[in-house]
This record gives sequence, structure tokens and C-alpha cells, in this order.
Amino acid sequence: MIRQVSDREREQLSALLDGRLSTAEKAALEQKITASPELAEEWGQLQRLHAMMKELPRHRVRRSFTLRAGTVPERRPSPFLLPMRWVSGLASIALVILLAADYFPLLQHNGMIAPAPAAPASASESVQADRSAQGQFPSQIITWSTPTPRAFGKGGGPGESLKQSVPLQQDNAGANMAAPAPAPMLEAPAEAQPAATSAPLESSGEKPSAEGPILGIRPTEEQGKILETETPSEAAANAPERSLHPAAEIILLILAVGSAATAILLKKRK
Amino acid sequence: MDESALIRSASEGDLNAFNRLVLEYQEVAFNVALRMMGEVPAAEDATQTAFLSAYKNLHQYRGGSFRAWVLRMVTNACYDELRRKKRRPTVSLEDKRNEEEVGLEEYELIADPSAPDPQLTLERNELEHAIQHCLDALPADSRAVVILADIEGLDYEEIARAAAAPLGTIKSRLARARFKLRDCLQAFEELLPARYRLIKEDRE
Repeated sequence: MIRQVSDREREQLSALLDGRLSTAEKAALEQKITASPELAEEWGQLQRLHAMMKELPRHRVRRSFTLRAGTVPERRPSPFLLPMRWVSGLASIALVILLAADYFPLLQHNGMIAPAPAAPASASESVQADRSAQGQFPSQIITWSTPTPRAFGKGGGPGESLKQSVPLQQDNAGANMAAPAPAPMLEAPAEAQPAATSAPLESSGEKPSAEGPILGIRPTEEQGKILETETPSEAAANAPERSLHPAAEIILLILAVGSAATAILLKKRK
Repeated sequence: MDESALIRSASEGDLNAFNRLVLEYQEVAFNVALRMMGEVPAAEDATQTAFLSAYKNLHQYRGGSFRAWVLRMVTNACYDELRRKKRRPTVSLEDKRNEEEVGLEEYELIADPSAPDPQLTLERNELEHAIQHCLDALPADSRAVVILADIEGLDYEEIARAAAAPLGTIKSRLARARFKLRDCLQAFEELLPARYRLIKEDRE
């Protein structure tokens, strides 16, 4: 019975001809060739065909295929190259301006004016009286005998570590404070200094400021006073915004990068 | 100037540098096109188209075998021409005249110092005619693979690049093409000299 050679075996014979079989595969196939006359015949014919193909003559070219300047398409830059460059440049400039506006407070607000400093204590006290009259319990900033370093302007603004929402007992003048209820956990209890008042100042290296409770230690007689109050809404309004136009910045960034990449690709493809 | 420097200059628009590359590769390009198309005028057209395309797309060359890259331009040009011919099978009188005037047998061959014998030359012409007939019967993609492997001697990786096909496809396509050629050439057994017959004499 004549054994049919499979397509797989023919593929292996072809790979054997080109030296593309591993040592093990080659050995296995050669063994099969030895054992099968049909496979041996296929292998012989393949080798003879390969030899005939290699003997085919090569033909000289009748003419040169070099290109002439007049027949070659000119390599002009893409018409989109210059507009892409302009778009990339303008988007980058706009992005830089927006980022500068975000991170330099002087550039915020229309008149490029810095936000007003914190009101002095006396004014705040009157505000506190008004708020109390309205039944509100706003956030309060209180200096104590042992303020934490955070009270000395590190981070600034209301809402810092000493701010509490616990309603405090007040006398009619609203000036002196009775000892408060057990204080809730502060943000940085580990930083509390049991030492003398001046110790934190020395460690922070800052001098007490006469204005505003946030920036320094109040004089002893004023310790415990409610210095400044703000409602949460005011606090949010006064908080410096991290970014004025985040969506615009992202769009400009994508535009700048995208158009620059497109310009580079167009230049390469000229 | 070495080849990589020529390619770099050519990709920057130096036509002289590109033409030096053309001179280097035009013979192999033309011979592949001739085996693909089976006739000289079509092969010349495909070769010229291939080099124009190569100049236009030189920025896409990313290193590796430049010969394989050029032959890819040639095979693509041949595929396009074969598809065009298939859509418009009519042959102009001029093409017919050109075919008759410049058959493969009459085309100038590269001098072969090992074959001074006219008889040998005649036998080789007969062989070439038979093989070309069988190549023409193969599908274009199989034809390209067997031409690149068995006539031009490219390795599998170069063939994969020139034919724009994966390595596994090249292996199976080449095997099938070879055995189809073998089957076709067996029909010419009687016409071929004994030394070119695939079937051994002792089996006849």
C-alpha cells in the first residue's frame, strides 16, 4: 500500500531543505525518510526542484531604473506642518500663563491685588458678636498659652489646627474666656509644647506678630480671646484655589503636546 | 559612502544617493519582477513603479535588510499590476508585439561562464520556460515566496519582510508552493532533459 505523505510532513521536508528544523526534529524526520520510501521520494524530488530553481538564469536590465529630477515627486512639507507648529506654540504659551496664574497669587483676581490680610482682633470680636447674635457657631481661632507651631502662620488662613467648632462659654463682653471643656483632639497633638511660651517660637525661628492671631503669639492678656471668626462658607471662599481652570489646562496641554507630535511626524514624512 | 549613509542621504532628499541605491538593487528587483509578471514590459513597469514608491516611502524604512525592503516595494508593485491585469484582461497590440519580440528566451541573459555550451543554454531555456509556466499558475502570494526563497535565496525572515507576512505563514506557503511547482513540472517531464526531471529514471 502506498503511503500518502501528509501536508505536515511536506512542510517539515521544506523546512529541512532550508535548515529550519531543530536538531531533534531533523533527526526524527531523517529517520522517517529512511523508513518510508514515499517520504524519501518526496524528499528527493524537493531537493531536485530546489537545485533546478537555483540554476535559473538571471537577466540583465535593459535600461536603468534611476529616477530623474523631473519625474520624481517633490518632497514638499505638509501644508499642515506650519499650522501645527503655531497651534503647539500658542497652546504652550496659554498653558504657561494659566499655570502661572494658578500658582502666583499676585496674578489672581482682576486687579492683581493680594487678598486682604486677616482683620485685627477687635474687628473680629465684633463679628463674633454678630454671629453669636445670629445663633451661629462659627469656626474659631483661639490662641492658647501653649500654641502649636502650626499657629504661627505655617499654612496660614483659617481652618488650621486650633480651629474648633465647640461652642465656647463667653461672658457678656465676649472677651475673656473661661477654661474650655476638654479639648477635642487637635491635628498635631504631638507638637504640643509643655514648655514656656517662647519655646515654640525659638524652635520655629519666627517672631510673634502684633497683627492677626494666626501669625504669632498674642500678648498674654489677650490669650484665650476669640480673635477671628469665619463661617465655613467664608473659609471656603477665602481659601486660595488650587487651580482656576483645570479643564482648560488639561485641554491646552493635550493640544500643545498633540500638535507638537503631529508637527514632528509631518516633518519626518515630508 | 556605505549603504546606511546613502539611505540616510536619500531619505533627506538626496536624489543622487537614492539613484546609487537603485543601481545597486535594480537587477535583483527586475529579476523578481520578471519572475512575478512573466513578461519583460510588465516587469520593467513594475520595477520602475517600485523604485518610485521606494523613494516616496523611504522615511518608513526602519533598518534591517534593505534588500528585503526594496523587494517588498517590488512585490507590492507586482501585486498591483497583476490585480490591474486581472480586472482588464485585454492585451493591447503593442504589448502583444513586445511579448513576442522580447520573450524570456530572447532576453539578454547575464553571461554564465559555466555554460558556454549552446546545447546547455538551450536546455536551460527550456527549463526556464517550463518553470515560468508553472510559476504563472501559482497564486501571486505563493509565487512571490518561492521566487524569493528558491531563486533569490532570501532567508525566512527576509521573505517575511518582503512579503509582509508572518513567519509561520511564510513556512507553510513556501512548502505548498514548492510541491505545487513539483506537481506542475511533472507534466513537463517528457520535454525536459533527463538531468532536469524530477522523477528518477529508475522509477519510470
